[in-house]
Amino acid sequence: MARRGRRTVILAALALVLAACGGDDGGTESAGGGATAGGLIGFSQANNGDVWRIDQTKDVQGNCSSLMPGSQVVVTDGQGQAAKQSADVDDLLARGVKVLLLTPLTAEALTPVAKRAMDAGVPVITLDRAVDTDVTQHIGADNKLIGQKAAEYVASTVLGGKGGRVIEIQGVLGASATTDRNKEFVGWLKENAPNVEIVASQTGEYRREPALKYMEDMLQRFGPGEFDVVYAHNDEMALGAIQALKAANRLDEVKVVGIDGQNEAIQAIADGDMAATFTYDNAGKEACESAQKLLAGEKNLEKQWVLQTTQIDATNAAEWVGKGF
Amino acid sequence: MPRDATQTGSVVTGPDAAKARTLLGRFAHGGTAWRRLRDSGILLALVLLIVAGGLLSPFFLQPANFLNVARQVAIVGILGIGMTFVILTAGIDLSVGSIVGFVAITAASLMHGGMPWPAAMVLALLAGALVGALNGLGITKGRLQPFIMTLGMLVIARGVTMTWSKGQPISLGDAAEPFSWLGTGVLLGVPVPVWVLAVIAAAAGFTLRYTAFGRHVYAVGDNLEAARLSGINTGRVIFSVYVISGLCAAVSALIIVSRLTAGEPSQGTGFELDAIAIVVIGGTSLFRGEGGIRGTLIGAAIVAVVANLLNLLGVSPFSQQIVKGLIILGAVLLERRGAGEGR
Repeated sequence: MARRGRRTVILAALALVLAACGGDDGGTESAGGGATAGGLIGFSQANNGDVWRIDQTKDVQGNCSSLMPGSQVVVTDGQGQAAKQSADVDDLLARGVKVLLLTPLTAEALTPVAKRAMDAGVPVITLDRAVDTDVTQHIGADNKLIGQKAAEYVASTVLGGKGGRVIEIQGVLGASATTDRNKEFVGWLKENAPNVEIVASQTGEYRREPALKYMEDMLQRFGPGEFDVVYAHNDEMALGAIQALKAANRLDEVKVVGIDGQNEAIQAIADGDMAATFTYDNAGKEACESAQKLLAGEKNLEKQWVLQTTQIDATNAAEWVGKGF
Repeated sequence: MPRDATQTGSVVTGPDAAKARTLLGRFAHGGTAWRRLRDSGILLALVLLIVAGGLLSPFFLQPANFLNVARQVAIVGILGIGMTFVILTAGIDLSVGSIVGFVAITAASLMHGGMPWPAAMVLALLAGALVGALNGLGITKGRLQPFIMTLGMLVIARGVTMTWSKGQPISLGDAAEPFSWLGTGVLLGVPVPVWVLAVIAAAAGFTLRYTAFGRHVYAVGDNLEAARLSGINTGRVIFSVYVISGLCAAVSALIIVSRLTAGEPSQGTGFELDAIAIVVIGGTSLFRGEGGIRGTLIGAAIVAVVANLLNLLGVSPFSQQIVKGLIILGAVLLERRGAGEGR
């Protein structure tokens, strides 16, 4: 055989060995076998690349295996690409999952595949973010409510009703969570506190680094005293903003508000670096509870399972330290 | 490493170079035979993977899964065909991922705005070709290295896409239903994207093998000076391959948009690496005018099959990245080693 041909065969063998080894990954699940007693559950993660989502994946895997010991959870990672996540779900459906747990990257792009799943008779539970088609159940905290509460907190508690200027750092554009956290925040202010002005708004993609960079730029654009509050759609971005403010020595004049209830943020609130955050459960545990019901044959689940959210600020941060994720 | 046509060991320049690259020349020097042997090696690898896949996972050979894999092969394969042309000229196109995003947003916003999908499709294809043309111009007239020019375009095109869309995805609106045939349709049991791949692959293969332009592409990649001296309009050849690459990226983008019923500005991020990977795995050299469409198709199939198997076997998402990266590295390393040995 030609030299190159033989090498390519070696390559293919290498790939197989790696795949076979990887398939026996401890902590995820065993290599594909026949039918599983409890049923096959598929979890399509949008992007296993940030703290909140890694935690969500862990919660899904952990809770599902403890609630349903006979079942198997297959996890796919869309890596932040809608096309890949859509293909992932197709793969899960081909795999024959009995229940699909889905946290879609964006609503639009994942709607067709969610519809395909529902049409094929596979119940779909969406976590955190929703799609634009009818699914079996949507579980998540109420982002609209969070947006409103954040607006109220900023206007009344932080600014004391005197008005002020806000810089908003948004999450991934197109995700239902982002849309809600933005629209409701802006809407509430317009109606109840028109003296609070949003002077700049940009996406930080829910990640610390882009938020940090954006904050650094904003600190150049707005001199001292030219803005009072930073409203970040999640704690990672809030922490990034705080880093930039600290480096510029302007943290004392600016109050930062985040969302999620991340431990690092709670600690920052306790330390006085951050003003407040709102807990946002990742719905992993609840999704597994619903999956268990579906696998047991129950057909009628509540369409919307709204999770509770708590405001964490200086008054209660001390008791919340370490209780986040 | 033996070359396509000049296996006598002597350096062929001038008018003889063009003659040596004729079909007759290649047959005479055993070029095609050599290529067939090498291709069969890659093909064997693919067959082995498929057989092993069937053994490792009962779901792998099921029709539903095969259709999924076929669709993925099509999407990345079309991208790879464009990249094959570029790499054959010893160039590279790092911007194809960004072109996919740009075309996705273009198509989506046109359709969303009410333009009938056939017209929007044509305009979107033109948009992709236009960006490719800009790449080509920068490289030929601007005398920029392909790496630099397409790297710049990667950033610029993504920036334009983000600005135009304000970072938001654009849904197809009413066009979603009528346009869905491209991404989700099935004709005679075969997904439409696979048909599109087949047509493009056939056209590309024919062009490379039987037309003067095809021979010029190989010639330019093999030895630019010799090609120029033998009368080939190297500027036009190089310009053309980047337009082809842009067009292929546009086709890929349209298939994805049809399937997702939305254009996302982040679409295509990282696709250039996949495209380059399948071309290299398929045996096309990054440094000489060697290789072809058949190798790229097999490379696309190998990458898609491995990705699918990893998913079916439940390999953790983190490990999947490692495996993919190792395969690509391995392919390039072995190719470079082979290049050294052959000399």
